Parts: sequence; structure tokens; C-alpha cells
Amino acid sequence: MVVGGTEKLLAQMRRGAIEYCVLALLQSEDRYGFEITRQLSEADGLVTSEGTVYPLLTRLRNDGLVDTYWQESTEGPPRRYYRITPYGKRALKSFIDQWARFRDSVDDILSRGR
Amino acid sequence: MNEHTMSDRIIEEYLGDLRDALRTVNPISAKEFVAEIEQHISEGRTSLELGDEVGLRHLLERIGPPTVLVNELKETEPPRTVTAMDRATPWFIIFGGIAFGFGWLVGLYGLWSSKTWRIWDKLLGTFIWPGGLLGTFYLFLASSSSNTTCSGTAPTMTCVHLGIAVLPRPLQFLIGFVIVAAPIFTSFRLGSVLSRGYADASNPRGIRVVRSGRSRTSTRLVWIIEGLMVLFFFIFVMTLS
Repeated sequence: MVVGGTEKLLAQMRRGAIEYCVLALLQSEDRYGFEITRQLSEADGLVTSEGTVYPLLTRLRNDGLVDTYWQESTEGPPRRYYRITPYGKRALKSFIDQWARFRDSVDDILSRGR
Repeated sequence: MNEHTMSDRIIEEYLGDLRDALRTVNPISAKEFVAEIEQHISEGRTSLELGDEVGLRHLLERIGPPTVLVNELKETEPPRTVTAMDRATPWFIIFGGIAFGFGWLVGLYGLWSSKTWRIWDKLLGTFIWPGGLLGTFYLFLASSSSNTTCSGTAPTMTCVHLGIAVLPRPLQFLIGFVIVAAPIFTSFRLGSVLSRGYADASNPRGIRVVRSGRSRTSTRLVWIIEGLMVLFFFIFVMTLS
């Protein structure tokens, strides 16, 4: 159960963090939209509606963090693949550094309150 | 109705709801978004049995309710920039031809260079009528004058009457009304698209306006130009009458 304004805060944090989760998924290999949404939705509490990942992918593309290309599929119509750009890689690295510090600090403070 | 058709109907209903919810979103983003969701459904269906209605409903539930998706899409939309030129364009389109001669061409440039209007609006603004109210005037003159062409010599001379003056009076009024009202409607439509923006609950007026630093000066300039255009138009009409 989520109490008070926590839900809104969590939604904002989720929205901010998912971008980098997508970049992290794309760092290992190029993926198509359906694949990305399924990977994210398998992680607990990260995505509430799979369809909300597509606007995020559009934003990443508009921001130059990923680019796309079409590839034929043996299972149906052509797929749009997403690929991380060098700029996206730099942004991900920067986030990972900051995130580790942020997470450790928050964990540390929260553990003191127990 | 067989199960396969039922599945198609469920998908069509879902996509129909999605398109409805997307009406207030930038049309290019909306089209692209629907294509992505269609592709997602198509991918998801490959793992379902043909006619698996329950599985299909579960797939759509996982994608999420259209309103939730559209709210998310709006969050990612950059704020729309409404420039002074955007605001002036409907005025240039309607009055530009009369007031400044080639002002209509300026309006045309504003119309086609802006991302505010979709292609249909741009075509409407261009062709109904070229020159705006000036075009209306010439069209009105051309259609209201009647030509009579005669051939042969008396007493076997044959005359042909052309023009709307030979038509029944109600039809003449109707044609005249359409000629005058069409460009005014076009201009209203352009203005309406401009002011509608992308409305949502947090922004009921629709426009997410970003103004540049020079906006105050340019807005005043636009108002002066608009005022002058209206003045010229009325002088023009008074002169005619």
C-alpha cells in the first residue's frame, strides 16, 4: 500500500529512472519496442503500463540518446529497433555514477531511522 | 461472429479509444504512437492462440488504458511554441491580399513554415481562396457578371447567356454566400487550431505557450498590423459600396 504523496513521488522517480534502465538495456544490444517493454515490465514495480514506455522511447530519440532503424522480422511486420548513441552512453555512465552515490546516501539515512 | 473476428473487434475498439484520447495531442506524435501500439499488439498476439480472447484482453490490460497512455505521452511532449508569426498568419491569410498587396503571400509563408497546422489546414488556407478576401472579391465579380455571346446574324442570331446571373435567385445567393463565407471560415479554422493547442486536465486552455524574450514587442507589432489590416479592409469595403 502506498501512503499519502508517496505514490506521486514514486511515479516521478520511476519516470526518471526508467529512461536510464532503457539505456542500460540497449547498451548490451539493440532491441525493439516490444522487447524493451517486456524486459522492463518483468522488473517489479518499474512499469505499471507497458504502453507508457513508448512515449519515453520517443523522448530518448528526440533527445539524441538513442536512434532507431527498421529491420525485417521473420515473425511479422518490420520492427523498429532502438540503438544507444555515444551521447546516450555518456549520459548512462554519468547517471550510474550519480545514482550509486544517491542510493547509498538515501539507504544510509533511511537505515538510521530504523 | 467467429472468434477471430471478435479479437479484431476488441483491438479495433481499443485503438479507437486510443485515437479518441489522442485528439488533443500533436497529430504527428499521435500517429506515430498509434503505430507503435499497433506493432506492440501485433507482436504480443504472436504468442497467443488464434481467437484467444482472454489472452488478448490481458495483453491490452498490460499495455494500459488509453487515457493513461495519452497522459504519459503529453508529459513527454515538448511545450509548443506559439510564435507571433503563428498568431498573425490567419489574419494575413484573410486580409493580407487586400491590405498589403502581397500580405497574403506572407501569410502563406507563415502557414507552411509553421508546425501548428496539419497539411489539410494548410491546403485549406492556400486554396480557399488564393488572395484571401481579395480572391473572394475577384471571384465574386467574376461569378456575378453575366456574359452574353451571340453568333450569326439577325434574324437567325443565337445568343448564349453565361454566369450565375442567369441562375435562379436562391442559387445565386447560395453561391454568393459560399464565396464570401468560405475564406472567413478558413481563417476562423486556422485561428481555432492555433488557440486549441493540446488541451488536457492540467491545462484546460490547451496551449502550452513558450514566449521568447522579444515576444512583448512582437505581439504589440502584430496587434498593430492586425488593426491596420481590419481598417484597410473596411475602407476597401466602404469604397466599393
